[in-house]
Amino acid sequence: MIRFDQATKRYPDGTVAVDTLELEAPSGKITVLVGPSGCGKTTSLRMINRMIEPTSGTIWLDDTDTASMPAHELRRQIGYVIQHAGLFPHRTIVDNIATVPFLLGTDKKKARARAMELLERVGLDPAFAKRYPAQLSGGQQQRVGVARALAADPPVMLMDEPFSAVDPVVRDQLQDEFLRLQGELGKTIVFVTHDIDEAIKLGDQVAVLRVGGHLAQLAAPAELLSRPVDAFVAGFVGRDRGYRALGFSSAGTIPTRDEPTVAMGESLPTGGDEWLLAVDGSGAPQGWLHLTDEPHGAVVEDPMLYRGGTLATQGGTLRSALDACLSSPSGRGVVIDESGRLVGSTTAREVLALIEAQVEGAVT
Amino acid sequence: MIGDVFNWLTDPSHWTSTAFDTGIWDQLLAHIGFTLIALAISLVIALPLGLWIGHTGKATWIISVANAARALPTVGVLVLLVVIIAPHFYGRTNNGYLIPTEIVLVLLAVPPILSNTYAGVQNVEPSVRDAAFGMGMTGPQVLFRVELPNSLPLIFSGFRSATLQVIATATIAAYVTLGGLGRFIYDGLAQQDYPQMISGGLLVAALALIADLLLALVQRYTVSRGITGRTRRQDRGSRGPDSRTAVLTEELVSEAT
Amino acid sequence: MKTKLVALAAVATALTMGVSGCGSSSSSSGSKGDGTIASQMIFGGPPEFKTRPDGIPGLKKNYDVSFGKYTVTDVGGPVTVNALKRGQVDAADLFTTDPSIAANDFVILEDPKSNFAAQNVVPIITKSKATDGVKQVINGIQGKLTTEVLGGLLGKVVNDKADPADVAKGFLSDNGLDTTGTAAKGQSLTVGSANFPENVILGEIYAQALEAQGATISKKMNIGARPKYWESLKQGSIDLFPEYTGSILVYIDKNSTATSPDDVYAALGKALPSNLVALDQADAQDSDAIVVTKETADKFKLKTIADLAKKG
Repeated sequence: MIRFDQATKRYPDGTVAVDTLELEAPSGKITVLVGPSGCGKTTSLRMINRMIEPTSGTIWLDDTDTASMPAHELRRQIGYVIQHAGLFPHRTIVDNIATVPFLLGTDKKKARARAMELLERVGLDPAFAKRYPAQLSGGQQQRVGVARALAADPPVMLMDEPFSAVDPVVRDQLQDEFLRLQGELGKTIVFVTHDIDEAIKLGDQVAVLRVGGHLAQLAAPAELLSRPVDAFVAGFVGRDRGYRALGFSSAGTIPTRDEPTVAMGESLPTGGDEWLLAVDGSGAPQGWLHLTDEPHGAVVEDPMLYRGGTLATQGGTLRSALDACLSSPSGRGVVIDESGRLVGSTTAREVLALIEAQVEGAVT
Repeated sequence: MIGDVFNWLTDPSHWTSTAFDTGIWDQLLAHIGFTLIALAISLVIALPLGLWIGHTGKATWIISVANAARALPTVGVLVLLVVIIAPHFYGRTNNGYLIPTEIVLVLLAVPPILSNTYAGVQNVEPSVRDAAFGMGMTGPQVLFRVELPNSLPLIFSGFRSATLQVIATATIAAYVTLGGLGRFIYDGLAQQDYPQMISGGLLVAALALIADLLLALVQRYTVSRGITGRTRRQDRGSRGPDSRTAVLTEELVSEAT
Repeated sequence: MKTKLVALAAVATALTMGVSGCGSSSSSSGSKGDGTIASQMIFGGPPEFKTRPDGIPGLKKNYDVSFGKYTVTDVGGPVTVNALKRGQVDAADLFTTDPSIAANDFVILEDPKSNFAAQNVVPIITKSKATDGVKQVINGIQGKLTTEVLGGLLGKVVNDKADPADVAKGFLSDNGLDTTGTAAKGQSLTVGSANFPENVILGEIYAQALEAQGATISKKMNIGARPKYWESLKQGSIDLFPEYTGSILVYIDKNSTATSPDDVYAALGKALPSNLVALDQADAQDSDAIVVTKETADKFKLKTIADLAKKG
């Protein structure tokens, strides 16, 4: 558990970066600090491991005052992941990961063995071990950064915009993998980001900070979306709140109807609807065929497919169910099961009915 | 003239020493000696100072002062120092002339080593330094385990530059009774013995080249491959998907080619 | 990485020590040679003295003197003086008018065989300007110029930082040569000098004396090196110039072999172009000399260069 107790950072010229912050990051959970530039989120994070020393107030690490020991000893117990990874260019990947164990005096062989384990854990091939950071892409370097932070198995991890410097596709992957990892490890994590969507996706609880270092609201993501405490938070959380909140509600069982299909490599049937769904051998949807484009009896091939529609998983969120309907070229949302096989299709109207039912249920 | 120079250099009597005249081997050794002493002293002064200034960011004015020293007229300073220092030494000793010479050479060698060491440390990526402290390294640990190894390319560059300057300038020792390869240049000019003079110049150039090659070799084996980029497979081009399968496939493919 | 650096440092240290050990040994290996006094000595002089005909080869030829070791110092400058004074060399090549000889009680070894050709101060003048009156004035000065006197004048400029014109004035008045008169009345001459202090003093002496005797004088001091002023003298843009017999003779006639003062003066008279004439030469000479400290001279009883060839 990490607790900010009246923590303040005031600079000699009078600027107050963090103003008497009171905040508790519970053990085993991800607490995200989010806010606009100048809100003191990074400063607050860096006060935990004393990269910035608080001007007044205390920061507690469970029952210990972080100021009660030398800074470098404190930091060796806390995992630290930063935006550009900050890997040591002159050391191999495995030695980078083993940095803190080396500092703690762990036997080199043991430390390296553990580093190899972590390398695989963050999803990197063991062949990367002997490489140097310059040979890795940004995303790969970030994974190493996370592995490095985990090497000494610290109970606490601090992460300062760790995924901001990579491209959106990689960022998405890293976020998903991070959640998976946290599911396995259960660390106490304080995470800073300027991206409200990332905060909502990753946080167990989210702290929204105001410029000048004040805490505006501390709440679980769903609550933040549905009940922002004031205009600032509402504005910061942004538009489409209602829509994004759907991402937190399970659709339950989506009512579906059977959807006619044609397999890849078969010839198109005559008649039927304007749009036909194509599936592969195992029944997984591949895309839509626009029958009026194709000649009679043409064999179904890849280039003919319209891939615009997203897929909703049975038992997934309302948001993905609605999106499947909205994005489908045919207007019918494709629903699949966990193994990717077609279950059936649904329509926007039906999903909206589900949504309204939930809203009514919540209101009454 | 080229023939005369060749003849001068290949004349064996020029390579050995008599009691009256010093030959090429001994002048070469003397020249190397002057150089090594100056470089050793300069390293001891400039390296720790550069590391400290780079690490703490304090007293950067020292760098400016050192760089200004590069503009000193070496022979002028040398004669001035000899006039001040040499009268304190009696009898058959070189020290009255060696000490001023070494002072001038050290003044020449310190600026490149100092400013390059400082620049090397300063140029370490801020995120790397931040991570080093964040991991829990103490100040000295950050300096010696992270900043210094990453500064080595620039430090070597400064040291090699200093070495070349010292070897080239150590010829001034000949102006003040000492030996070294400058003897052939100075004597050759005064005696209008141009083959001797040119040979002296060639020998200095050859020494400088060999020294730089040796240092390049040392640099190769000391600087981490992670910094120089001298790594076996340049995989930087393929910034493809990060999934494990993709990575493994990359590996297999590049192994096959 | 750490071990690599340590190994590197060890190699570098060993190298430094080895090389500087080697290097310094060569400086004190002077052998006993042939048992003469000179063979035990280290000689200090300019680089060209080692090979010049009147340098080391000349000393061997004329006096059978071979020094043990040669250390190149400089051309009669502060490094040579310091090395001689402090014992890094035992004998040195200095110029006879060098003020540091008197200042340090050095001893000039006599050169009876004229190994060093005579370098008496001689005024060269355009023949048409050499009237009896002018000649009388100048030759009167020449009679008073000895090497010691000239050295003393130079010392005032070099050590006391006096102005050469003032030093010249003092010399003239000390020797009663500054009386006004008409011996050179109606004559106008351009007096020149080279760009070293001693020569400027001489030029000033001639110029001021002639002016006192009624001549109209224009001065061109500090001209430069011989090629420059010699042209001016030959063409007539300079009329009077203080020269040195030996070196100007060799400059005009490279093959001259005269060395004694009389021989050189005579040869010079024959070698000068027809429009120039040499006035009386002074006793003062500014030539190379073999110089030792007083202690060395006393220790080995040295008076002439030949004494160095004695067994000691």
